[in-house]
Amino acid sequence: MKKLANITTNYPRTIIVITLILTVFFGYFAARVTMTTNIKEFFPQDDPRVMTYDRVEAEFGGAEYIMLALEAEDLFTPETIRNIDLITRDLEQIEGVANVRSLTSVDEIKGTEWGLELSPLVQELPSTAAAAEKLKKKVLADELYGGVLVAEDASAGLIIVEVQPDFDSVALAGVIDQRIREYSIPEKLYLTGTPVLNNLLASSMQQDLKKLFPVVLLIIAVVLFLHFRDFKGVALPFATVFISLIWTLGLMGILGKKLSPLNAVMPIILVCLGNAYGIYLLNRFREESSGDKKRGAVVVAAMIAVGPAIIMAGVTTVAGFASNLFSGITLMRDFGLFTSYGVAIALMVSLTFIPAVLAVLPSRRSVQANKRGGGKTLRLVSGWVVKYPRRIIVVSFLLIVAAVFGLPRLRTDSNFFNFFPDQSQPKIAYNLVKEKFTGSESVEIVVEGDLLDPQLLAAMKGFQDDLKATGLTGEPTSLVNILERTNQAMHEDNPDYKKVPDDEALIAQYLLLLEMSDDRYLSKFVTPDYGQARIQALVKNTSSSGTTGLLAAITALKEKHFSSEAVKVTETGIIVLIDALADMIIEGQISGLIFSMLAVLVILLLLLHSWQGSILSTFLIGAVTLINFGVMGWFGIPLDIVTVLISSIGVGVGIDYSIHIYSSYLEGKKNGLTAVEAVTAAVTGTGKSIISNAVAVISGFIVLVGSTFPPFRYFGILVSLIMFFAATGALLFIPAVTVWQTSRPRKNKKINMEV
Amino acid sequence: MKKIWIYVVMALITVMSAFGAAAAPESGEVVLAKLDATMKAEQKYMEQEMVLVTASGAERSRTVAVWNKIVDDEEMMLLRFLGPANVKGTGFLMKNDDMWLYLPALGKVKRIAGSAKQGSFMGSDLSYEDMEALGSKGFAQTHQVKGLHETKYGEASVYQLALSPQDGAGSYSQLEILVDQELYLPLQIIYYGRDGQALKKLTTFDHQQVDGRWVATRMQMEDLKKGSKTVLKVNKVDFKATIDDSVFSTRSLERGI
Repeated sequence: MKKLANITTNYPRTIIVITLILTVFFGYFAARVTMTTNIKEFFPQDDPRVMTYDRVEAEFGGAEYIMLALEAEDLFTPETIRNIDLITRDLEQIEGVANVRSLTSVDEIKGTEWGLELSPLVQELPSTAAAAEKLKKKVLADELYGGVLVAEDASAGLIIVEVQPDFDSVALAGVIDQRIREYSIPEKLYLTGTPVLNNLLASSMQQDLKKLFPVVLLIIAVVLFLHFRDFKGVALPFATVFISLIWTLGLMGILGKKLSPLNAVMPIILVCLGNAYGIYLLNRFREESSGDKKRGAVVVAAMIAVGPAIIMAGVTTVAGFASNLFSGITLMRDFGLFTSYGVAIALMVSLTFIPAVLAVLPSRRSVQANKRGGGKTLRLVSGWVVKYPRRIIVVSFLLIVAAVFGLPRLRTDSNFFNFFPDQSQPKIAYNLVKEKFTGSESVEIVVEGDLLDPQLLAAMKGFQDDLKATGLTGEPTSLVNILERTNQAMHEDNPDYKKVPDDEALIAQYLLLLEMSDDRYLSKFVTPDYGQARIQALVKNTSSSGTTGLLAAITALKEKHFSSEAVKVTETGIIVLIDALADMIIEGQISGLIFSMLAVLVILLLLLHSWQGSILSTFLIGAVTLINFGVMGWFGIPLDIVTVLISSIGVGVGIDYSIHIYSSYLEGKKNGLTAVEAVTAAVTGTGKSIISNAVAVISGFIVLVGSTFPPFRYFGILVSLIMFFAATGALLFIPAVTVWQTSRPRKNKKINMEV
Repeated sequence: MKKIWIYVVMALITVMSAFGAAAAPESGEVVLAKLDATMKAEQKYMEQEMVLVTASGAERSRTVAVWNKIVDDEEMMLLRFLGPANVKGTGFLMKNDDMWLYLPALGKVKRIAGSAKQGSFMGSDLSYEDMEALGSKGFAQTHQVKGLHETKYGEASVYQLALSPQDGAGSYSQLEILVDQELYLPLQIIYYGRDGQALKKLTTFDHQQVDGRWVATRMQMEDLKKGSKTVLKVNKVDFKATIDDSVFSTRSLERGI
């Protein structure tokens, strides 16, 4: 530390210039960072679930849909049908659209007196009310269209836009959103589907952060100013934060990484946490500069005094964030990597750039602002600790027990839909589609085997019927439905023949006939080698519990119907990926927590040289994490891709308070104080820094409560709560246990009475 | 001194002969006409294997027997599946713009809507339009020459012929054909879409002389967007067979020839 301190004071200008040059360099790349909400980017590229999904897209065309619902009193009027057709044709022209399915574009298999016809369901737009009424009867009676493309009560129609597999669906959602605003039609339009929500999520999240970020800066500036009462005290920690932010975003830009809903909170985290190191140093600098010492010497003295503690605090925070590297979720690993990098940069800048600037800046009278206030409360606190250690311990354990009971109530939610408030436009559209149609998201089931085999087709039929009967999906469609209709069409539309023929040759010949008629029709359902077929069903309930239930049902039905070894059945779709994400969130959370706890324990052991202090501090932070999850359980806050980050922040940052208290206590003991005296000195002395740091961090994070996104709001509240518990735990629980421990009867029971 | 004169004369001869060759090039229209003449046949019988290969590498093969004849400038085609077993005997008849299919498992002849002609041929990477142009219709009827260059394609000297559809008909904006200067067979055709991007690529191999005509006995059409391809192998071709007009009827479709 002395070496570092000397370097910074001897070559301050060099350090300042190098820091600024690097900042300009990273700043150039930082400007390139964009935002993504593409769910596939959450997974490693070689994840089997993503590969299955990609394969389905490659074999059968897009599996991502943008849904446009059109609401009218009665859909079946010549005007409304014409509007549906106009919109359908218009959307088809947009680049990136693979195809558009709607009442007026969908094909049907029809038997005519001379043969088979694959032709549009609506060949001619009805021009009279009677013709529209006739169409209504026909469409609503057909399970392939009624409830799928047209609501059962004919009050809404659905236009399904299939995105080209390699096209950016989120960008396309933005284009379509713009396009439909230009339509002037009496019918109400609602846009939904995963790409639409992701697009809205990305743009409104950016807006949200743009709005909240300055507020966070302002609040932290105010807190810093109140603490230091001068410009330098605000400017230097701020410079640290900005430099670390620019370097972090710059590294993301260089590595081609994107911001996501998950690491969108990273700038706020860096702002709230990154300034702490500078604060400790500045504090000490002021304390040391009260005499007539030279500036350089003051800087060196301050660094030697608080440098190790700052490093300790920084390293544990880095370890806390690094725990996210254990997650299977790619973006969470990115978050762990970049946040710990950002904190490390803030730490480095605090120990190089700030001392360098301090060494160069002209001297001024120091204001001992931080000496005032807080003293009374802390003396009261230390009084309680000494008097009632057992009560504090009992209350703490009661809290922990209460938290434990909240754990079983904790649920995960990886569904982006829930990021929107209920009254928001996207949620209204989503609920409308859910209510009027069979669903807005699809589950795709790929059947691999000999698809000309009548037995396999019969199994698929049984599977589809049972799936429909669960009530969890709309009408599943596949090659089976096509063959049934073809068979009927080839027998003069006799409904008795609406079944898959029991003759492999006839099946093969029907498929040949369909290929001859329009190969694109078939390609959505079966691969050209007849080796893979897809069953597609729209899903009603896309919440986490809904998807889990559906996937369980599918697994059971798979076993029931596809027992043959020659047949392989795999389910995929956006909702399957979302469900997998929930599992990965849990797995990553558990291993990440174990890692960060162990890492923190090791770091503490190395730095504190005290088993008791290390274990006590680690226990406290474990308890605080538990309380966090307990609160989430009791209040029904789901563990989602944003709130999952809280515990790593809690461990990495919350541990600092314990470190400060315990090292201060050890210092007191070393200086010959009794345990009680040392505890009192620690609480009343270091307690001040802890409180001001906690206030700064909490007031920064609490700003997120103003976000429009529930996960951000929860994030703000929970991080604040964790900081609150970590700080009060450090000021009450650790001292109480220490006092209680040293006063416990060992050989002489009388000591107990003295306390 | 004399030596120099010899060199000058030799150089002049070389330059002049180069100019001479360039001075009388074949026009694009002539190249196109010769290309069509090699490809077109008034009538032919062919046995062909069609292998479809998907982007992921899965394959499917079908073998067919095809009778072609041009009657009153219109192409007639009868096609009979030879394999695989489950479609054996299935017949397909194309006459003018009408199409019929005979399904032996059903024992019936059924008509296919004419709109199908815009799609691909039997799920392959070739459209009906591609088949017709390569088969009997040729390119000159429906295309005009936009450009001609001489270049090399591997070892072969080729004409690079740029064609665009007349009246903007069809699904392509341009075709780029490499025509072998000796055989007048297409070695490669690149089909460009309306957006100017290359959509498909046809490559021909194994050129053989049959009944005095040059024929590519293996062709491969790649769909550059989807990554799939279709390989056509000619197992047998007969230009001399006499094919009666009555072959192209629903009656022979159902009963066999």
